[in-house]
Amino acid sequence: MDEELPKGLLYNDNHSWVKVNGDVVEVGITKPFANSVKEFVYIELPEQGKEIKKGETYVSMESVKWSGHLESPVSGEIVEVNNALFDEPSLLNQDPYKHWIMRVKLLDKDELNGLMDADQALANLSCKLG
Amino acid sequence: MKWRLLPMMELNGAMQMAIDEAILTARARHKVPNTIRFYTWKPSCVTIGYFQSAQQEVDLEKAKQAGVDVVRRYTGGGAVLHDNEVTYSIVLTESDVPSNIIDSYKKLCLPIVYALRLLGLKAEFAPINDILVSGRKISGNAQTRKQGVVLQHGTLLLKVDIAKMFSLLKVPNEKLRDKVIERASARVTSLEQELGRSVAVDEVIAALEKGFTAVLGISLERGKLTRFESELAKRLAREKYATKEWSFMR
Repeated sequence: MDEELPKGLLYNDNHSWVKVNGDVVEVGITKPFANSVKEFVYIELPEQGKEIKKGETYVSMESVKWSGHLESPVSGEIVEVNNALFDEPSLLNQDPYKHWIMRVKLLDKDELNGLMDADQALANLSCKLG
Repeated sequence: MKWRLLPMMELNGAMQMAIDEAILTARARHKVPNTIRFYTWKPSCVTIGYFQSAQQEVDLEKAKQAGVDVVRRYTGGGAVLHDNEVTYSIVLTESDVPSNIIDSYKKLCLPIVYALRLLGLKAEFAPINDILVSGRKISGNAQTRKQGVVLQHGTLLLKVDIAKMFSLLKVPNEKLRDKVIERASARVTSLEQELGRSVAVDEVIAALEKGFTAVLGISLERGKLTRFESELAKRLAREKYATKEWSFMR
């Protein structure tokens, strides 16, 4: 998966992707975003076992000169957190689609309908960059 | 485009950080327009970046003795002593700044460069996020982004007291403390130092207002915090920025 915005994933408007696999989804950040902010140096990961709501901050990150707080594209229980990223946040720069940030057990699958597919996300991105 | 300009506020660090975040949230919910405000710190305050550790960056005992607050920011970057300075904050939608980070800093720093030139100084933007006068730093700036909104706040030094700064901030290696101070003295300057006179807060704010309107091509409409913002700010100050859990979470 080395495309900019791989097909088969869903995207929100805030640099995050969702990979659906039954009731549990993986959530991570997109490559165009990782590329634009350069190397991540710090990351604050979500807490395993916590309930998260769509739109709430799930990850806070600082790159060489950027800092921000990203919104969760889904609601549900955080069943797993990719703790390896804490020691090496730059893994997200190397392959943001391999290194998911959290796995979430969905509260409501219908919520996924509000996300974009790769084509829509790409159109959205080009219009932002333009 | 019309932006909102809030009145100058002199408050403690927890409240200032809470107000900045409350405006960011209000902007994200489309409750308020893009907003600029200017403020000063009472008492003086050391802020640390979102990812820093207060214990590692600040001599907490000395800060307490000096009556200086210590507060974690929502933005990234390093530790800063806010003493004799004017601070500005800008909250605007992400679509109003270039997507490139350096360009976005540049866009929001150039108004400050313009203001400094109005005050008679040859200022320049130094990527990524500094403003220099005669090659020395006079303004540092930090950004964060959330829910499609950018918060940038930064300082403009009226006066600088390097000795005080380093009595409160820790240095990576104590043996090199003198060298660090010497280097900082050579690299940091202030309005007073450059103009050879003391400069009033009002004079700086007037120049900054002109800078923002001229460079960003906007008009500033005087307004105040909405009820939503001021209530959220009070709650954020009380439950977040003024708490030990927040400031000492790392």
